[in-house]
Amino acid sequence: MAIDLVCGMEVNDYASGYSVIYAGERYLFCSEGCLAEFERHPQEYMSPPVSCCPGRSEEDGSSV
Amino acid sequence: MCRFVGYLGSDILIADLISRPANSLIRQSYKARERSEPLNGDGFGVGWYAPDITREPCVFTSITPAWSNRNFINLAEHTRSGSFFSHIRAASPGMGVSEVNCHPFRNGSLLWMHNGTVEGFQAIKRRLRNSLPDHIYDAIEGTTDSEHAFALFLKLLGEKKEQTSAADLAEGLVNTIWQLEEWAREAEILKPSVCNFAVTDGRAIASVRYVSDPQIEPISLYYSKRGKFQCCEGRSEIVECCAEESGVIIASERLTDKSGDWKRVAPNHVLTVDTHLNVKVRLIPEV
Ligand SMILES: [Zn+2]
Repeated sequence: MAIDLVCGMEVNDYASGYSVIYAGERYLFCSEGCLAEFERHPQEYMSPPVSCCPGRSEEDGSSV
Repeated sequence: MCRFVGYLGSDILIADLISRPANSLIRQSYKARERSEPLNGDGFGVGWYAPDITREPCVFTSITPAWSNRNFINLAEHTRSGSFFSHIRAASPGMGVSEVNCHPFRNGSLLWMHNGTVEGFQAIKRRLRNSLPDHIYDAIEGTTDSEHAFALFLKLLGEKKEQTSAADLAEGLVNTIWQLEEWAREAEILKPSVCNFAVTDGRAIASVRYVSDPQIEPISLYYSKRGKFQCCEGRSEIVECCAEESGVIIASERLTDKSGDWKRVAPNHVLTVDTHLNVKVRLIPEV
């Protein structure tokens, strides 16, 4: 199971085709939109922003 | 293409998002950072909830630019709310500048705003209007694609309108996008629509960052969660705070300069903020 760096969702489908190799590592995405977004702003997603309230649980990324 | 902000949380001054931050909504009305045309001067609006008075929000709109309206700035400096939307407008060609065309739009307890364009709207407008029940059709006051998309949302939300959860609002947004896309396909509209919609009932928010073609970068949309805005010695930032003081902000552009305050909403995802301020993001499935 991997985490989509753009939306935070869990992804596990290597066959989906939504993957990219960046700095020697393969990253998986949930959709074409998230893959394209990563390719536009890779630096932003490689160093995720610091949470404004560290220690609190991250709710986003789970499915509704 | 407009800009907007939305807030849900503990009561704050509307000015804390509208006029005080380094990249406040009012600043974005004359110098937006993340769109090629920096002016958003075709009017503005603010809608806020005062639940101790009524569940229906108060809405104030004007066709003046936000930066020059002293009433707007004065009102924002003297009004506290735990739930509000505000929008500055750059009117699309053919969509008249009038108060009824200013966002946010209100229906009952709901507020709606849009950043983007429903492409080929004129080609699907009659079909959309014909699909509406009378009470929703009769509530349309203006001429914009945005207000018509809201009317379609209200129809698809159906009976849930009076008792909505964040998930209901999100489902309504996704269904609205699917219906607009189906009509666009049938009308052979090839240009992609850009639909950053936001809706609230004052207790929950749902918002989408959407473009028809996932290869195209959608309009920017960010969120900041569970902090509170603070302006100290001219420096504005989102700071850690206790749960009683916290809130969630959605915004077309980052309001503060510290990038760590903000996360982008992923393209073609729907974001929800529930009454407990839990933020969830999920993919909009393709039809
Ligand atoms: Zn994703």
